[in-house]
Amino acid sequence: MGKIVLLDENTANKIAAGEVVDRPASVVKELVENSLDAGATRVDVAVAGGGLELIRVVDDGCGLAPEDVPLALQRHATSKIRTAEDISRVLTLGFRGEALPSIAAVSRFRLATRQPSDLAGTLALVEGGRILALEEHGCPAGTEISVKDLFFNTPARLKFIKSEGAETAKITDTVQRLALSRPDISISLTVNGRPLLTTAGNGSLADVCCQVYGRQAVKLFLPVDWQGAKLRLTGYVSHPSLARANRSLQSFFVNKRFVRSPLLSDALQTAYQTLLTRGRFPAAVLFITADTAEVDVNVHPAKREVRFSGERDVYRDVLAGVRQALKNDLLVHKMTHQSLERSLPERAVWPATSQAFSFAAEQAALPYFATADPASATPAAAESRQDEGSFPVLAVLGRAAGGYILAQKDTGDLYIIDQHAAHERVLYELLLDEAQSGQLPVQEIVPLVFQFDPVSAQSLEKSLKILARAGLTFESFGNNSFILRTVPLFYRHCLNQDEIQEMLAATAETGEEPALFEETVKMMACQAAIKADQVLAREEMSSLLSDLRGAKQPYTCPHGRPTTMLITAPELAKFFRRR
Amino acid sequence: MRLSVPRSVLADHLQVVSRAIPSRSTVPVLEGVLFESDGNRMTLAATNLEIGISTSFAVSHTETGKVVLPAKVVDIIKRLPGESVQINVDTANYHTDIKSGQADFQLYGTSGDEFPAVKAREDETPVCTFTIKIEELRRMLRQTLFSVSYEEGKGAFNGVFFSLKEEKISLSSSDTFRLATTSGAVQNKNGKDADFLIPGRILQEVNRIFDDEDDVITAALYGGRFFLSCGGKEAGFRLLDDNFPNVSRVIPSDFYARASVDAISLQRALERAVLLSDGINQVVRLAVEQDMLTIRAASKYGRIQEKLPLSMEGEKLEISLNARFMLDMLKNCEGEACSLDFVGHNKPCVMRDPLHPQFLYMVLPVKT
Repeated sequence: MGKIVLLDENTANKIAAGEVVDRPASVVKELVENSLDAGATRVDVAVAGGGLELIRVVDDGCGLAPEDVPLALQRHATSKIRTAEDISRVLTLGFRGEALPSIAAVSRFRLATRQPSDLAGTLALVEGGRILALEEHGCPAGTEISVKDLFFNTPARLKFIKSEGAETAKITDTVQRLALSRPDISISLTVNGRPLLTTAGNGSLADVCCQVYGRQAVKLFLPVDWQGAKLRLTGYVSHPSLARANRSLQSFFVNKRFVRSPLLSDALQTAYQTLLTRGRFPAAVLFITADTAEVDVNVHPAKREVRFSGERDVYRDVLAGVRQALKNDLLVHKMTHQSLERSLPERAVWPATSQAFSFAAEQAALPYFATADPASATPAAAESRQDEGSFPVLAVLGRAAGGYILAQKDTGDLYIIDQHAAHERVLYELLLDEAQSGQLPVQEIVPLVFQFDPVSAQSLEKSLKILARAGLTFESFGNNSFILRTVPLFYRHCLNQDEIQEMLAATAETGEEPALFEETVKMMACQAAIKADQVLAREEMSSLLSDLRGAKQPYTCPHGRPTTMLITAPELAKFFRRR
Repeated sequence: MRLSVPRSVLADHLQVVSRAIPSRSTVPVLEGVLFESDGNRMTLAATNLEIGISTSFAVSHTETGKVVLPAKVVDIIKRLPGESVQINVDTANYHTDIKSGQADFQLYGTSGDEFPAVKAREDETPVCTFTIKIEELRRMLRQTLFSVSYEEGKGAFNGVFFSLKEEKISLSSSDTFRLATTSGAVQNKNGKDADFLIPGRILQEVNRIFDDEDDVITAALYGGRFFLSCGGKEAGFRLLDDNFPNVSRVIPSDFYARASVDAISLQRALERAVLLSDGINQVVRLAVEQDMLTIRAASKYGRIQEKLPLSMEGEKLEISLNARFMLDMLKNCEGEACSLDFVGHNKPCVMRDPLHPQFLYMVLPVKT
């Protein structure tokens, strides 16, 4: 007798559930996406016990016709596509027809739905995939789905579920991203009876961002609006001062679908090159709108991944769009009234009034997106922003110990500039410019011989051409030794063995030619820059500030540390209670 | 210890040793001056362990003994009112009375036993020893000290390289961008040759310790230190433990063109050219033709061109050099003319002072 049998529907659903429904958060994702596809204007999510006890999603969407309900509970039953060709044109979030039967197969499932035009709705009760009841039922228009005791019949899966807290965090994350993807829909999340998130559904991404990231963080968001050849990029990226040690603050949406894409993450990170220190990641909420034919979402059952037909173009557009946004804004690290007070050691000196005051100040600053809304940004407004973005003309007031230049703008804003970081930035751009245009003047030196270990020698041997472009002419001398013949003219510093080793080590990680070149230039700029303990004359400080003003990216050193801190005149006045 | 000395004599000798007192040291005893008497001679010593200076003078009617007095003693002695100074050390607690005129100081001294040896040990055999005329030594230092690198941590380039061969000593220095080398006659006392490297920073003190009256200086290398002595004065210099590049291999020997130009005119012209310099960029372009030297410089502030007459043998050429480096040499060029030897386009330039044929200065080119 043959050994192969066709699996029954129930078993097949459980297997499919393994792919689509791997944890409570994915149930939430599938259900909310169904609601969004159903044209809902309002979606309320409630969970309890980390989603294992209860997940309830209520929407006011189009609902299901009574005759469609049993079909919806079958695998590969969908209203969203008809043929395989439709996949390439699909605009809805789901289309595989797997979600509902998969979820129903591993939980106690209740579906109540009514089309607005129908008088009566339908109720379906399913337990572990078996339909227990299917009857006429009175309910509001839309769909309400309750999922109880998730994974009650798949103990293996249940074992791999993390703590309630961790699962709740995943669910929150999922709902937040769905909310960000659709500012036009009011989405709420209630956890164990406590409301966590409610979006207005007024179409304003800025408002959703406030709900998700908090008002303080959103003040540091910069609008992105870029029209590329084949795609449009909109949304927000953060000021470099709002960065995290991981990518948790980044969300990418392709045609309103949340995706994870190394390509997009890379492009974003590259745009922040030299603005952030190593291992820091900016916040971003970026929407890519492209022709559906250019995007393949059918890569992963949960559609978290996405492929683009022209990856290079996408990368270039995202890079350009984010760079544009960064260029438009004054990338200075602002010291606000609140953060100043936070940094004060003795809170006792600042009694309760200060709290109330902070709150009032926050409220006063409410129209934080007056110019930030991409839609309302007229060309003239963009131009004035451009102007704002350039480093201001500053008058030097003096110098604080530790190498900080104090300077003032004519508006009375106080600027504090790190002299080393500032000089490093100036030298970096100078050297990079000269090296890239191939006009880097070099100073010949008394030949210095360096002996290396074989590994360093090999990596140096490979990098000779690149280093020569950066003004460091090494000649192989055999036996793992090298002669250094020139250094860049402005550099005026002869490397010693340790410094060369360090440079090779730093660049060994990246290994790519442009990276090695830039790393070398950064290293030299850092070493050649004036040190923090060097006392500068007033004229020297002025000259440094005017050089910094000429820099393309004056607000951070090439390693991403800030060069400049700003305390605006109003902030100062507020701090001293003058207003 | 008890002694009486003329105030001016003591003050002068203290002034010499004070050059070596460290302003702050982790070894407290170094922050003072050692006073030591053997009954006939008084010896003063100070050291920061880089350089040690001692000086001695004859005294009469003294008890033997030693004490370390705080560095303030230098200024105290200088300002005392009387013609002579009486010093009386309590050997039990090293409290020291200093009396002069109506002034009466008591300084809290410490034991001299922990003070490091500053003088060469007489029982040691020197690695090499020679005598040299003071003006010869001063000339050689003048011709080399300016091209030493005074930035910390530059290894051999922080020092002046001494190479003794028979009756001749050569001094060389470089900060890697230029190199100076010179030589002078010595009397080799034990017939041994030696190479050693001394930090330029402490060699600058030679001019302040010894003066023209000192005439002939005795030099000796003992283990890790180089000593210069004359009369009662002796200075010991720490050596640098680094390898100086082989000078003869670095300096070109075949020249493409040799020119001679008026030193003062060249100096003035270069001084004008660097007025336009922008930051660290002090590059001038030299165009050398048969009877004309053209100096050009340009920066974001403007440009300059100046022509100087010159006499030249060889082919015409152009070269970019750092004017500041050339000026450093010209300021130490004592002859009326300065000779410029070229190896070729964008190759090193060798400058010489015809008055001191031993002196040679090489400036490495800038390539733009």
